[in-house]
Order: sequence, then structure tokens, then C-alpha cells
Amino acid sequence: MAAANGHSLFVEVQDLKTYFFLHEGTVKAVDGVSFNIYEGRSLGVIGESGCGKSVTAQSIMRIVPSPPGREVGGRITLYLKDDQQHQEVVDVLDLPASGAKMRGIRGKQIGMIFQEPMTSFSPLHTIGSQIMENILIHESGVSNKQARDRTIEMLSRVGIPRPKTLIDAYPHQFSGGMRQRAMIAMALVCGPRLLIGDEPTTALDVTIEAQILDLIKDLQAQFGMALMYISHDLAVVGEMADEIMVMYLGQVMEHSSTDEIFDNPLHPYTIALWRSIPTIEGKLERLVPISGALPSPYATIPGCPFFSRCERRIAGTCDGAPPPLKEVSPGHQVRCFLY
Amino acid sequence: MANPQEPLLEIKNLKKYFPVQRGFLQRTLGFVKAVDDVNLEVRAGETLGIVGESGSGKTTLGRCVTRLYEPTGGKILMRDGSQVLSVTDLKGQELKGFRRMAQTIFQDPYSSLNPRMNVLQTVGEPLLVNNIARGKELEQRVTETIVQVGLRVEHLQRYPHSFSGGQRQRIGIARALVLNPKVIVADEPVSALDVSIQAQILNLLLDLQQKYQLTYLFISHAMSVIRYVSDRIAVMYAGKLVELGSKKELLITPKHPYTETLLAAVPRTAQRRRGKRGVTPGEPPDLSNLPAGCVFVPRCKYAQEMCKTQAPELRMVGTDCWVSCHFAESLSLHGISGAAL
Repeated sequence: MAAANGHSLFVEVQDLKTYFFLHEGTVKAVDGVSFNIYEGRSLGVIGESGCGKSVTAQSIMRIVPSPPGREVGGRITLYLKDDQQHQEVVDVLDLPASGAKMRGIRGKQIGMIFQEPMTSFSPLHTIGSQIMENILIHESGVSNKQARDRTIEMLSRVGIPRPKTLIDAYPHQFSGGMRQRAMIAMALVCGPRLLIGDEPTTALDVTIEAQILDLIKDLQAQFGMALMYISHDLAVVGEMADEIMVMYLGQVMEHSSTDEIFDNPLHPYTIALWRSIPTIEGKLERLVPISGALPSPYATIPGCPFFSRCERRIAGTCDGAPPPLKEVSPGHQVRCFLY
Repeated sequence: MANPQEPLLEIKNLKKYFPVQRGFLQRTLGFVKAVDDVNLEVRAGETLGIVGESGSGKTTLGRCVTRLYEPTGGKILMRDGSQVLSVTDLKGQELKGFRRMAQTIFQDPYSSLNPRMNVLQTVGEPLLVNNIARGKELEQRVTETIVQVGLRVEHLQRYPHSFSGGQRQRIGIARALVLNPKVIVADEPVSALDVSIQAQILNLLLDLQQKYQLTYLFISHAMSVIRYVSDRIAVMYAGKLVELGSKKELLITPKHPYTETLLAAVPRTAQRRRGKRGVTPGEPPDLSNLPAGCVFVPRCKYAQEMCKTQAPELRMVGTDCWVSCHFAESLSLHGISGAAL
């Protein structure tokens, strides 16, 4: 099994293709994406709406709305361990999405937190019963009492005050920040090896966002799990991730360590993004907007997807064939003909 | 051109309370003090950034300034040539005249445009209701305006659904601009837009300001956006103005603990290299049940006994900085690193 710097590989995504088949045409939401996720490490995914970052995560969890969506190609290999530390290797794309095996992975091996905690909880059940359900489904031989005790402990670890009382509260009785804490508790209560966060702080106020970001970082260190953190907010991803993947129209444009991608961005899209976003620190210069707009999701683009907006495009080269993802220095991949 | 130091707008003891009503008889049980005793001057030609979290009263303040809300108390004065208008007392034709001078750009370019009106109708409507232009002349004025905001003549007959978010926001800006206003209240104008589009709209607003000497009240929760557009910054918390100062002073040497908190909370890429930031605990305040003294007491790490009972007044400290904190002079608070401004 592959390992990087002593971190063992948990998820290996190879050439993933997830398409949506709509009346208007086919949307290639994820079109040939490859990356690895290691235990104890965090991967950040950045991109604008429609770049395929959420669909990539949904494909790993096998929760892509289907129809119209379908994983049409590639492999998502999980390196699972059972309780006796025996290794088992599965390709989640071979599993039926709602079969027993996949249900045993979702919520147990991989936890996920979403942007809007209100829609992720059932309004009819207490917070506690929804978190307990996770334990009771995934672990055999656990009594109700034990599940309840573990839920209370988990709620207190994510910073819910008076967990013994609030375990019986309903979602509407919680504030936005508290609901997000409860959702993190639900995602982590079975001790997953990977936590996926899909814009989990976008709906929160800045001071609450700061609290939640610190909480996720602390819990990741305590549990030693992997983190996949998806956001359109560069600063948030920069704060959370060890390495960053920049996506555009379903493809990975650049992938490298966080320091490298901020200090030495190579892809024209990454460079353009960096120059177009106001920051809280650094020199105050006039922003340079990215020219043009995102192409239609139904369009078939023969060459580089960023061609129409790129400042350094080479006509005849970049619009002919798609550029390959090239490793230009150790750990730094770029999809561009300039390199 | 107007003297940049001269206040265009004076907001005095402005209050806006919303009643909390319940039951069949709609009995009033209490009030939500969305804006509570705010004093503020807006200078001609400046961008005053108003920053705060949800429920801080920044949107309510903006809506009172344009008289979209009727203030509960206080006064707003506006200089118009040699005249001083008492905005809060205007009625009828006078109010209509004032509205020509003070326009709003809204946050959500999807819900703020009527889907059944094309660009010509949407941007032309203010000219029509104010009896300024009609027919050919109206079309002429609308065309000039939409070209100013980066749209094209062929867009005139199109409906909102055929535009992207950034283009819709341009329509919203054209609608605000078509009456040649003096003041524009921009309420989170880029929050709903994709990151690569935000810069286009921010730069457009800055260019239009230069060209037409506009005064902006720029409302946002995003400190990085506020830093980019503002000349001065006002920080609001729980309906109160807690700090007001020049951009440089406020960001580098904040004087109010809440300003420090807000600046520390902004995520930044360098954070992970520098370690933890010391997050402020607690939740945003419940506006219908505020503490007796300073509103920030429950979350303030510098709070002392007197803060719990005595509400601090907004007072001047330094040359161009107002703070409502008893200990503004003695605290030494952290802002952003200074070399960069």
C-alpha cells in the first residue's frame, strides 16, 4: 500500500468521470479527476460554482443524485481496515449505491458535513436521536444507553453546552453555529477515517466560522483522520488544507502543497483567481477580474476548458487538444501547455 | 466638486425598533432594537464601509438612510447644495425628490429584479415614475446608463433569466445609477456572486464613483471586501456603532475589542503557518434581550465590572476615530499587519 510521509493512503481516485444526463444535454460535472487522500492529512478543493468540487465528494460517498447523475468512468478505491486491522480494498463505484456495503461505509468510514445544517437534520426528531441512530446502525451490540452516553460525550467534545439536556433538543432550538457543531458530532460519532466538509462554514457569521474551523482542525488532530475540505473561499481552504486542488469545469487545473500553490501558483487560472480576490492582508492593489464568464455547462470544449478566458492562451495549441496534467516539480501538478 | 471633509449625510441618534408581536390581538411583547442610537457622518465622495455580523443592524441602517424603513427615532440630515434636507421629515413630492438622490443596490441579483420586466423597463422605470423621460428620450438615457455599467445595447430587450449573476448585478447598478443619485447604499452587492465575478463588480463600483463623484455606504460582512473599497469603516454590533475610523487606523490599530475579534476571525492563508488565532467564544447577541451595560460584554475578554452596568458612549479618540468602549485608550489591540496598507 502506498504511503506518503508516513501517512497511509485511504482513498485513491483515478480518472473519475461523473456526468449528468439532462434534457438540454450532458453536463460533464467531473471529467477525469485523480487524487489521493491520506490519513491525518487534509486536501482542500477550490473552485467556483459548477467546477465539480461537490460532485467529486458526492461520488466518493455515492450520493450523486441519480438520475440524472451517474459515475460513468474511473475508480474510487478505499483501503479499508476491519476491527482486526485486516485490510480490505474496495472500489466504491462497483458497489450498489444503496447496498449494505456502501451504507456501512457512509457514516462509518466516511463522515460528511454540509453547508446548511438545517436541511441535514430531520426537524421531527431530536438532535440526540439522530446522532444515536448512526451508532446503532453501524455498530452491533451497542445498547441504547451506551449509544446515548457516547452521543452526550461527542456533543460535549464539539462544544455544545449542557449536552445532557440539549441531547433532547430539536434542530430548530439550535442556532446556526450550534447546528453545525451537532452535525460535526453526527459525522464523527462513529470515528470515521475521512471527514468531508462541503462548504460547512459558508452560511455562518465570521466569528462563528472561526470557531468551527478551529474545532474541525482540533478534532482532525485528535482522531487522526483524513480531511477533504471543499470551499469557494481561498482563505478558508488555505487555512485548513495541507495540499490544494484547484478545479475548473470538472477538471483539476493545479494540485500542490498549500504553501506552494499560494507562493508559486503556475496555472493561469490559479494566478488569475489569486489576483481577483480581495484579501485582508498583503498589498492593497487594484483587483484584476478574470475576463469573460464561465462557458455553458453543456458546451463541448475540445481543448483547455479555461481557453476562452485565459490571458496566456496559444491559439492553435490550447484549443486543439486538452492539455495533460503534468508534474512539473515533485508534488506540483499543472494542467497547462505552458509547462 | 464637493469638499471631501464636508458631511453629506448626518445621522443623529438614529433608532429603528421592530415590535415583537404575538397572538390574535398582536400584542406587542417587546422590541428588537435593530439600530439603537447611531451617530454617524458620511462625507461627500467617500466610501463608508459598514461591517458587522448578521443582526448587527447594518442593513437596517442602510434602509433607514434611504427611507425604505421609517426610523423609530433620531434624525438624518442631507446637504443638497446650500440647502440642508431633514430626510426623516420629508413627505410626498419632497420625499420623491430625495429618493432620486439616494439609491440602493441590493444583495441578491436574482430576487431584486422583476422577471417579467426586460432591461429597458427595469432601468427605465425610475425615469418614468419620476416623470423625467419617456419614449425615445427614455430609451436614450437607459442605453447610456447600461453602457456605463458594461452591458450592451442588444441587452435592452432581454429579461433577467437570460443573464448571469454578474450581469444581473450590473442591471441593478444601472437602475440605481439612472437617476444620477448622490448617495448609493450598496447592501452586500457582491456576496451572492462567484469569486471571479466579484472583482468585476467591485472595480465597476469604484470606477463609477470616480466618474460621478458618488458617495457610497457600502455594507458587507466580508472584511476583505470592506478593506478593498472603503475610505472609512464603521463597525456595528447589536444595533450599535462600536467603532468608526479611517480604514488604515481601524484595520492596523483597532480600538474596540469587537473590531479586534472581527479582524482575527477572518480566515487567512498564512494562519496555518502562524498557529491558532484565539477564537472569541459565544454567539451573536439576542437583540430582544440585550445586556444592561455594553452590548459586547458577554463575549469581551477585556470586560470589567463597570462594563456590565454602564453602556459606553461613542466618543472621539485620536484624530479621526470614534469608539464606544470604556477602555479604548488603555487596551492595546491587534489589527492586521501594517506594512501592507
